[in-house]
Amino acid sequence: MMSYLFHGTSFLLVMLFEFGFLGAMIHPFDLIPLGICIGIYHIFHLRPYLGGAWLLGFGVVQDLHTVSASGDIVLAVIFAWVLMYVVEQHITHISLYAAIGTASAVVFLWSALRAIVVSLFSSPVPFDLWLRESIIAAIVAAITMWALMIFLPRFRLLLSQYVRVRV
Amino acid sequence: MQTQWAIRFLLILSVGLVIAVLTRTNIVRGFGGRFFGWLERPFTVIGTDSSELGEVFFASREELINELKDREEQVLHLALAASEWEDAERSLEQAEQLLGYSQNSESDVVAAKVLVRTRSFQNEELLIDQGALQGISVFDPVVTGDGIFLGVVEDVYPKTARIALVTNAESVVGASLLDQPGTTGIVSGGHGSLVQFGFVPRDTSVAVNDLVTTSGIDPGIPHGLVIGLVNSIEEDENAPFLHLFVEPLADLQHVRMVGVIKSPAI
Repeated sequence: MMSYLFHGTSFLLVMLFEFGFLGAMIHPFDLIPLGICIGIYHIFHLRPYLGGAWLLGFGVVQDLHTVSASGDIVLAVIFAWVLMYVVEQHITHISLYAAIGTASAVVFLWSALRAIVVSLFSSPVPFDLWLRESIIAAIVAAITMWALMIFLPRFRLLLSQYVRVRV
Repeated sequence: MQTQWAIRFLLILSVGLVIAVLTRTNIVRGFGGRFFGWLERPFTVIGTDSSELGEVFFASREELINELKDREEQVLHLALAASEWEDAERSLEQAEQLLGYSQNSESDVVAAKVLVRTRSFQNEELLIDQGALQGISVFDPVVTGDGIFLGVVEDVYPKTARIALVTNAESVVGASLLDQPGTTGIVSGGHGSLVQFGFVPRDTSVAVNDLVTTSGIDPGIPHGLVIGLVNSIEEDENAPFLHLFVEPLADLQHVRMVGVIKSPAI
């Protein structure tokens, strides 16, 4: 129960940080896909349902922050399912670089598919704009994933010394 | 196993679609928007402030120099606007005071705006935008909006006039202490921001902060216009007179509007 509360609180804090703090910043900082990267991190650390929940939650929050339909929730479901399937069925371990590459690719594809959905159901997104933003987001995602893979385990270890919750 | 994953995918997708549809409803969007908007506000404020810092941090030297120039220009414009605003506000305030004074005064008062101010240690003068065409003549007394004596008209031109302030070295006017009849002495300028109140008989009862007014001995200058307060008293046992220094009550530095008391037509 405490674990759920911890993950719920950390998800809310990360979302507020991403859409509040980072969203108010200039490019490229507002393109840091923190929620997606944490979701992928959990999936690759063999907590696929937790990772999937993070991706889905991110999709919901992103959708709430978008005026027009952007298909974020459906995209979140698809990516979560694909990653969960791959992790559970086809791989036994993953390297740091593979995680970074996956996060980068997911973010790029997510941005591209999102642009297509927005173009179809709302106003068309200029090609150069979405390409530029997708590339920047992919690069930033790679850096974020690298930082998460390096620092999050240490942070969890540090936290577990003071908080008796399995996180 | 593959079928199980396919079923799982369909289940998750169905849940996702239901959530996607729900998030498009006004109730969820309204509540969610308010909830996140309220919680995100402090984060957004910090993000905006940090972003401004980030702009400075990541900007190139040229961008920063240009930004600095723009900011300096903006500051200059704002300072000018603020100065004009303050000036206009002061003029308005003094004009209103002057209007009140002229309505209560028995004399004919002409309101004038200060055009130019000449200021040196010995020579303090004003140029006003009213002149002979408005009936102003030489030696007419000039007062501030609250009726405090400021100086006299020294020269008159058709549309302007030159005022010698009470602190001017050439300014001389008969003065008396408040509530004391007759002329007590002569107030003269040329002593910086103070004026000298000379030729005051030694037996005169006077103290610091006593009010000094015009005595009315000068032609055209009415009795009772406030000049200032006694600042210091210099007493020489061998001299027949006291020497007082008076601090003028008129704000000579910031006067924008003045009233010229016209001499009655002969």
